[in-house]
Amino acid sequence: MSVPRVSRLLLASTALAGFMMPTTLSAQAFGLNEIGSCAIARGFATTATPCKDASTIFWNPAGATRIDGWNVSLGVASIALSADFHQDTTGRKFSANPPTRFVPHGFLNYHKAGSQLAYGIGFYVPYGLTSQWPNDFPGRFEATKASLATFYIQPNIAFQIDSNWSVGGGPIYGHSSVELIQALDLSAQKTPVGPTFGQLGVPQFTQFGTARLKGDASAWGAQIGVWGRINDHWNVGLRLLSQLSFKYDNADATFTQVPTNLLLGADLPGTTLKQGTPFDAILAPQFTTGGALVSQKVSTKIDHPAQAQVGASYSGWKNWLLEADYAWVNWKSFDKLPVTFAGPAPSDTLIENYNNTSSIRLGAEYTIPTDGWKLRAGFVGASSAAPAETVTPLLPEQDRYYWNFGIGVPLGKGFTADGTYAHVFTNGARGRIIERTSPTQPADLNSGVFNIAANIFAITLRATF
Amino acid sequence: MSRTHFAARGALALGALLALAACDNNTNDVVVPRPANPIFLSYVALGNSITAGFQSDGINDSTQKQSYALLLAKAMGTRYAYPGLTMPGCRPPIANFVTQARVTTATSGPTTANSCFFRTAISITDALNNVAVPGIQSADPSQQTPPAQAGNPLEQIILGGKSMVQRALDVHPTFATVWVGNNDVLAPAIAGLAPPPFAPQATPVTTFVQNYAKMINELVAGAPGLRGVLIGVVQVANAPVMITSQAFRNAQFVGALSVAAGQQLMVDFTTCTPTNLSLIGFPIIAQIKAKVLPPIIACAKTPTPPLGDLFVLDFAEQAQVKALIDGYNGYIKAKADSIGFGYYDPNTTLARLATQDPVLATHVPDLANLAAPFGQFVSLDGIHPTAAAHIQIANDLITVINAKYGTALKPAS
Repeated sequence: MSVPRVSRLLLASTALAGFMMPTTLSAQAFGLNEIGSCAIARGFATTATPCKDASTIFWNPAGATRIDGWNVSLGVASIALSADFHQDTTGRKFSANPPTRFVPHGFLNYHKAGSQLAYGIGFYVPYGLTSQWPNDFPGRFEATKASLATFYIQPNIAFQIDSNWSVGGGPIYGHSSVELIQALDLSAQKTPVGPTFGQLGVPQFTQFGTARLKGDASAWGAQIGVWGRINDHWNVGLRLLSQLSFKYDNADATFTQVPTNLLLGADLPGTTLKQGTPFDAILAPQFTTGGALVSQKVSTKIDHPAQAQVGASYSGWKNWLLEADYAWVNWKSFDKLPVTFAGPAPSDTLIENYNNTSSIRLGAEYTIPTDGWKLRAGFVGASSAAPAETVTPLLPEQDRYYWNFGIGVPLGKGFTADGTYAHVFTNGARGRIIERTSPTQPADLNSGVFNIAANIFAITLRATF
Repeated sequence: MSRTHFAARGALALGALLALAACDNNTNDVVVPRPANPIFLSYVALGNSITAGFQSDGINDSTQKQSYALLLAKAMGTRYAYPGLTMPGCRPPIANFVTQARVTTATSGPTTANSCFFRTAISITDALNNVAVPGIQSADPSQQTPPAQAGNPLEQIILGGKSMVQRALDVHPTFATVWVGNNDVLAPAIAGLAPPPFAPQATPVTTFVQNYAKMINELVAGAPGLRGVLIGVVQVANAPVMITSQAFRNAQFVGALSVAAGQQLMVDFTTCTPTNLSLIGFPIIAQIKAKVLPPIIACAKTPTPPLGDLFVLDFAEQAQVKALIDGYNGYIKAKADSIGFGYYDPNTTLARLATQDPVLATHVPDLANLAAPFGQFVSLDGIHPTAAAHIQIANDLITVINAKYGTALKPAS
């Protein structure tokens, strides 16, 4: 008897990538942009004129020279995702139930007034996701629950070349942990006599086991930025974030049998299978010593892609700041997801074939002259990274739009609170709830439509002294 | 206006356009099947061999595609997933009327009536729109296997351990057709209502009513708002598998049938008289060929049973079978009325086809046409409809549906 395609697990790993589902809505694929409330409110259009806090270490490392003194910026964003899958075959709608995720960020920067150098360090979460579906969701064989949590720590040095130009950057240490829980589908398993259980009539999406994959990994990378002032009203900026490749080499895979309580209904001609044979008894040896579905180590690799963002800002209208950015993410690096078991479970490589993505980011900020409050708004349009063949419960990736609003409130000398609300819209995307079995499998085998939306609240407290 | 102001305003305008674009969220609607009418959003066919697409004493992916249920689904414009059986089938249909040899493929090797090739990989799905199982009787759709219909591998291969009703509900049906009951009387009638142990017994009407009510009640309870059509039981004595005894007074006919039986048939003319009205079940030929029965055709009960009894349905027994089926159909129609379903009597179709095909009209197989001895509407087993008959059934069902629900389904072709 063959073993289940645990690779899905790995898929799961995709999931890794994918936990993105719920949490990932805030950027393309499993990317996250919730790094500083001010930046979120401005539609992430902050490369040319970064927010005046230490979050510039991420948004433009060169901008650190524009902040004098010590600056501390701490905050968190909550991401509440709603998602559902509308199945063609039954017309049923399955709603995901991912928990609200809280994504922290923290930055510290020091720049002595008049110095050409600024120093700092940042902690942020540029990638991650969580997806969680109900127990009756037929796509649970892709992912019942998937979680990817990655954080980057970036020491930063910025150098002011002259009054109009700065450069900056620093190495990045990244750490990523992943967990995937996935149901195992009996219909895809081979019987001891050759055909699959599905060929003996077992309906697709009949669960006979649960697989869990858990692991973590570290990686190194870097980010650099360039900032420039064209004239009194126009600024430009650029940031480049390198790819970090996480190799989860020692992850744990565990498997649990789930009773099907199915009995063979008749003697099957030409086989040794007899009426009344319990399927669970046939399957049980897979979960015991010598079987394929025993606890074992598994490895996979998930590239967290490189990013580039360029922007231009205009401040020629009194009390107004306008900025437009273009962001590019090298999602093509996420073309496949290898899943290699150290034990007897069969290894596999999942086909993702992601595309590079682009997004347009527009932001505006108005400063109320009487009290210094900031009113901010932003709009973002982002293209989907996943091709039509790879939209799955792990990552129901699709084009998305954001409307962002926020305020900045001075709390006293040197202290400011920024608050932001953002809503993420999508138009829905057709997708599937089973993995592809070949690279040529067409998108017209998709079996339903994924819809997702998200509400994001973020708050950041910053202090300058 | 300065160039910088112009550029800034341009950026704002671009933003406004993008914002408008974001509001256009109708570009990727759910692409579910768009049926001819919303009541057909999810169709399921329950039934037995005819519904499954059984022909010529076998079934495979090719015959399954000829089922009236598929034609109906096409007319409805709705999804249709069926449990496709790998060629040459389970069991492979008869390919040669004389030798009774069965369909083979280049890779199947020789096949027999016990051969079974399982489901095609592509047919494995979570929800089937055709859950019909050849051989099932009225007691079976509500029961999980085993023990119901023990020994019927198709029940396992099609339903996978669920009951037929459970499997039907998997598709969350909005419309159902149910054609169950033929097997409660078919085999006993063909066997001439011979007593045990020679033949199975027909299901009494009271038992049938209990079984049928349980099936329909479970189905309706599991699919609130379900619409559909209940289909009556065929007057099996009208099927060409039942050969008129008068045919056996024709030496040429007996000679041709002897070829199929593998030995010379002898006719008992003391019972096969010119006025005898019995119907002889065609499977008697296979029994004779297998030497289970002697090569004698008697047309009425004899002092040496089962000769003249087994596979001989005399006039009184024909009336008995008709009354039984009338009892079944009376209840099926009443049940349809009570739950707001349509009712379709397939005997109206059979009667019309009999006006178009002499084999159906005379109950005399055309043994000069070995490719279609039971005519254009009945396959090589003398019982199950051909593709041409399935079209007729589908169109008569469409007429019933359109009349009942005010829909405008177009005829199948």
